[in-house]
Amino acid sequence: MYRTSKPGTILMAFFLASYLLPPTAIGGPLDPYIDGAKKEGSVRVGITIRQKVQGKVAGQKYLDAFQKKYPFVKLNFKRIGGARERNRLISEMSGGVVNFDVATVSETMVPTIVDAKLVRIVDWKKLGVPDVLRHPNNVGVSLRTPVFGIGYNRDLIPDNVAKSFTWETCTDPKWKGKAATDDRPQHLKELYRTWGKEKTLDYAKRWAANKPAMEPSRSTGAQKLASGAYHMMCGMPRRQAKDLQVYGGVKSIGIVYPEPVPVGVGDLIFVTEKAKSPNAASLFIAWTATGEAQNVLDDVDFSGHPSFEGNDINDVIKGKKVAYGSWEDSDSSDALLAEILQAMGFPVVR
Amino acid sequence: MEAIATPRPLSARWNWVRLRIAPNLLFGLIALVLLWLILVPLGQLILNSFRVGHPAVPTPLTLENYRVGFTTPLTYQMIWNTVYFAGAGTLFTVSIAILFAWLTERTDMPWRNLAWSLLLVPLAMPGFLFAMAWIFLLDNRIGIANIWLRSLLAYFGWDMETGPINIYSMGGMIFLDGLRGVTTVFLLIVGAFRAMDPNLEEAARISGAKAWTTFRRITLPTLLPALLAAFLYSFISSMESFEAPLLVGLPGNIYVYSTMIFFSTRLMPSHGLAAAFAVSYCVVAIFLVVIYQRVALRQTERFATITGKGYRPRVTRLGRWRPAAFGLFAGYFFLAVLLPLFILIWAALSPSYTQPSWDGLTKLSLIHFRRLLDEPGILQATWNTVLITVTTATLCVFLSFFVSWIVVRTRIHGRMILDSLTFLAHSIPGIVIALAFIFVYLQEPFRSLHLYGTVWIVSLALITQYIAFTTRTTNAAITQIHKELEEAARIAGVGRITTLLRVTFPLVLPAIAAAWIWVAAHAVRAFSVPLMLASEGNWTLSVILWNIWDEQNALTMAAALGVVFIVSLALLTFFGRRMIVRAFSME
Repeated sequence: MYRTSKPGTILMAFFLASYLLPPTAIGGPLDPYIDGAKKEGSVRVGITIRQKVQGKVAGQKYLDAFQKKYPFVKLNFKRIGGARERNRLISEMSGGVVNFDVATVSETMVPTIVDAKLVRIVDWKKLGVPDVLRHPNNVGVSLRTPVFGIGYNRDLIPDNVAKSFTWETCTDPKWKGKAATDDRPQHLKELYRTWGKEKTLDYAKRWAANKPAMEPSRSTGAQKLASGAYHMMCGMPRRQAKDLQVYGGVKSIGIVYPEPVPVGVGDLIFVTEKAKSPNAASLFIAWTATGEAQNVLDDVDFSGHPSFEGNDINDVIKGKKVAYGSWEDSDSSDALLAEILQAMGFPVVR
Repeated sequence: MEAIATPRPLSARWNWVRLRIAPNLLFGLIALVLLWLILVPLGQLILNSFRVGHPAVPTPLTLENYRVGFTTPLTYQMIWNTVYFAGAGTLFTVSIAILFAWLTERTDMPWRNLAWSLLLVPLAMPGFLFAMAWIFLLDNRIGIANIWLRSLLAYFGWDMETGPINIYSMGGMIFLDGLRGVTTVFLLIVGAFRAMDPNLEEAARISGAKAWTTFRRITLPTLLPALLAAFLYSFISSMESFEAPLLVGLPGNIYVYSTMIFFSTRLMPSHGLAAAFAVSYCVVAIFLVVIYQRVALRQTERFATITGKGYRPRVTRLGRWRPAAFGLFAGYFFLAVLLPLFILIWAALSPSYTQPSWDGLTKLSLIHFRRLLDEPGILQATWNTVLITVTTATLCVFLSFFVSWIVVRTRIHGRMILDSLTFLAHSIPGIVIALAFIFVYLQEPFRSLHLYGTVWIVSLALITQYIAFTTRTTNAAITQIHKELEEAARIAGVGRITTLLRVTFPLVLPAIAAAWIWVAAHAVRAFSVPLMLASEGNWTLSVILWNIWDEQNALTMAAALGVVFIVSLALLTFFGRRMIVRAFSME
């Protein structure tokens, strides 16, 4: 690479061009996609957003925000649920039975959709997607960022006691037999990246010695925590606690975020290979990575990325040390989790 | 029974067609349907067990899944747990079911017709809500029953922080699974109790045998085919039982086969490993079905108890034990239905779940029931559920009737393969059947049928899942009908198919009605199959229930839908019971 001119000359040429050329010729990187989306007219989106929760409007506000921003693209939304539905979606798309323009998978399924050639690669960086949300190979973009903490029952543990919780609290014999975890203690996977292997596995063993009850799903664990079956739930996702507080009206649930605060990569959303509206799909995904979209997402789904100013989770973890997950090593995330579970003495068959 | 009309003289050729060709044609047709329903997904399952990764990305065949699965030390610990859980659970279930079948069919227990109908109600409880209700009753800390017990013990000076009953134990798992399994085993054996020729018992009594000796030497051996079938069915059901091991076993660090599969698919979706475990289930099932065939079906003639001589079941007078007998039933009903139902109703009426209390009474409301009406797609899901339920139950029992007739009554070469096939289906967990259906119906040649994404694919998968039960029921029922009735019809010149439809079918109608109710009740609340096969337009109520439970974190709303399930099924069982009574009156 070599320099063709001095920076001052380039800047001058830029201002001159912006003055002389028509606006479309120097429009933003999204403009061609906007033009394409106008022609396409609609987009089929299959992601994990709940339009209503317990009868209350939730994710619909998020979808409405996109619709308001781009009224010329009709949004046809279909909710895709958890791992089972995502697995089924992969099979259906491979079989050509259903297709979305925008679809979603879990972190562990990314290699499968790449191998099955279900993804259309888009230069997300060019479309303004920040690096914290972008898959390094441009497979897709993160959505619904999980932030993990320690959930506690406020009737059993006063808020001022919970405030002092650290991750070591989970290994404190004082709480032996009074805490729960689900079968995917993903917070340890994120801590692993910050703490390193030795410290994480040592922690996992000490935590296991405290006999946390393993719950088959986060919902079950959270609901039992709310009713007082457990004092605390280590590694509880913020969304689970907020769901119960906001949509369920549960007052007995609290959550604190010890340092380093584990933040996962979340779901991956991507433009499908057979998308009929690839421009509108790209436009939708690029929009999800904006501050506006992330803040609405945080309001209704409690899963906005904490790096965006103005949302609740950003305020909560401001000034705290954060352990961010990364797409770079998502291929090995299962192996990490398996190692952690084995250290805890839980059954792992891989 | 209607009189058989005097036959018209027929040509020898036509007679040969009716007697020889028609049964073989029927056999061929049934075999094709079973191959389609069971062997195609089973083949897919076996193929998947030799592949790693997602089936959407085919890989070369490998033994890796079997190597990993069976070199993990934990596997052997779990096999022992599973055998213990299934064995003890089956003994618990079968013992209670035998007692209730005898009490309702062969004694003068008060309100036994009511008891019969009420025994069907546990079928209505969605498994995970049943387990969750019991957790709220017997959780070490917040279980209301444990709280009451602690208060009682504190009165005697025993202060305890938790317990005294620990539901998160092997005992807890056996208790929950055993309670839920009673209805199925009851339905499997009740027909045999009802149809048994009382002359055998009376002869023993006249010969001086005491009641217990008669029961041990006459009643039990006579009922052996039905009891053995029920025992084997219950054992396999417990082996693949999922909800209690998951919700109660997991927090107690007790792992069984089904939860191991759960782990193998959850941590990293390893369909190949799940398939390898499912194939090993099939091996066990084949072993069990061979025992069943050797012991039971080869002694068909010996155990025929419905003959052309006419019969009327003998009723044992319980005397002063009558109230105690009903008390036993009432105790079971209290534990299996009323107590968990009370918790579900309480949860459904609570704004958010809290332990039942007088204070909580003032906060109860119908808000969750009202929210159910606003749940998107609930009307469509209700219609889909009705459609799937009726189709599944009807096709399943008719197919089973023809299979059983071929297996028990004909000498067609290879007929036992049909029986093995239907029993094999029971060894494949529902989730694996659904997975296999996805891959089969997404690929040619079956893709052209356009079944994927419809209610019909759900129905076909459920037929595959339930046909083992219905064929056990119809096998046992036809086994007990002596051949002399059909032979009399044939001597009168009636064709085999006509005999089948006009002689055999009416005689086994009560068993068919019972099987229909069982399938319908299971199809209404079927969970894993509809969830896996759910696509736009074929959602059922159980899919909505799961969505509310897991995705919306709304235990209380899920409980409201659970209560609606139970009420709907109570109606179904009421009308179903009437059908059985009507069938009896035909006889």
